[in-house]
Amino acid sequence: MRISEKTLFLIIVIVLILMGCAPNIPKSDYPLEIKRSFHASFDNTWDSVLEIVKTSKGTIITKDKSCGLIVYSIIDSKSKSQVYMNVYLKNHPTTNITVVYLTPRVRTGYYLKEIDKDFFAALEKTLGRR
Amino acid sequence: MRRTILILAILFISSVFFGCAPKIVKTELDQLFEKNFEGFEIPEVRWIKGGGSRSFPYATFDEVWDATILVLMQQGIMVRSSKDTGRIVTITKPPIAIFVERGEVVAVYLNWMEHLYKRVDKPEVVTVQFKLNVARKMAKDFFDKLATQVYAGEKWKWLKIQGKE
Repeated sequence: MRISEKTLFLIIVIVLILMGCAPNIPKSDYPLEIKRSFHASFDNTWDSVLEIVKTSKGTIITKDKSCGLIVYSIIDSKSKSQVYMNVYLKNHPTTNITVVYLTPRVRTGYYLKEIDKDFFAALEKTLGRR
Repeated sequence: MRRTILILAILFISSVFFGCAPKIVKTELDQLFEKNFEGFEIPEVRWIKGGGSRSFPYATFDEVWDATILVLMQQGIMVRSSKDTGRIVTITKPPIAIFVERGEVVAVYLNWMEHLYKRVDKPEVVTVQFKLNVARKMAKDFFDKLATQVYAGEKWKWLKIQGKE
């Protein structure tokens, strides 16, 4: 069976349209850095996270200092996606170490771009200034 | 003949375009996301207790609470949390409300907030429905992960597995 050029062109156009309609699901094997320890008090780390939220023009979704949870949303400048940052702080008062857990998410699942590195770098910088 | 083919092709392409065009059907959940969950209230304890539950003997409230946070933050967006009242709401599929109950034996309750999938324009229509057995399986999966976290310490293996999907 011989396919004419026009038919072939039409098929290509349809395939391209269908591909354009396919949902863009980010996939990555990028290992998230979900936890880092800081030599800082819980209060200092808590305030620093709130400062990061402010400087990154984020919006607080919920915060509960009694359990160390801050969840905020930001627009990631690189991908322009709305990202929700689950941040959980755990303190070890005897050693003055605060462990910070982070899981960035979008509505559809994990956010697997390198936003965690930026967050931890910003936190380190903010804590260094205090 | 060519004209007929051309018209058919145009009709087909238009139908593909219209088929792909997203229908703007807003749910209560969409509205909450638009408002960054402003004004969203955590469900009552009595309602949360209407779902599934599991007890965690030999663990303190703080241990169970901590483990619950660590598991939930990997499963969804935590939009409400109050350690005082022991309640948490996380946006997973479907969104869930959790109640960690203090007591001699700490118990964790979970209920599914399927009502957040109600259409704003037609509240009688729910856009996503979960069968009871599917919801129960999800709850079991959650409680299994929570038990691992409570009793085995820090385990993040499911994060890697889900991340590769």
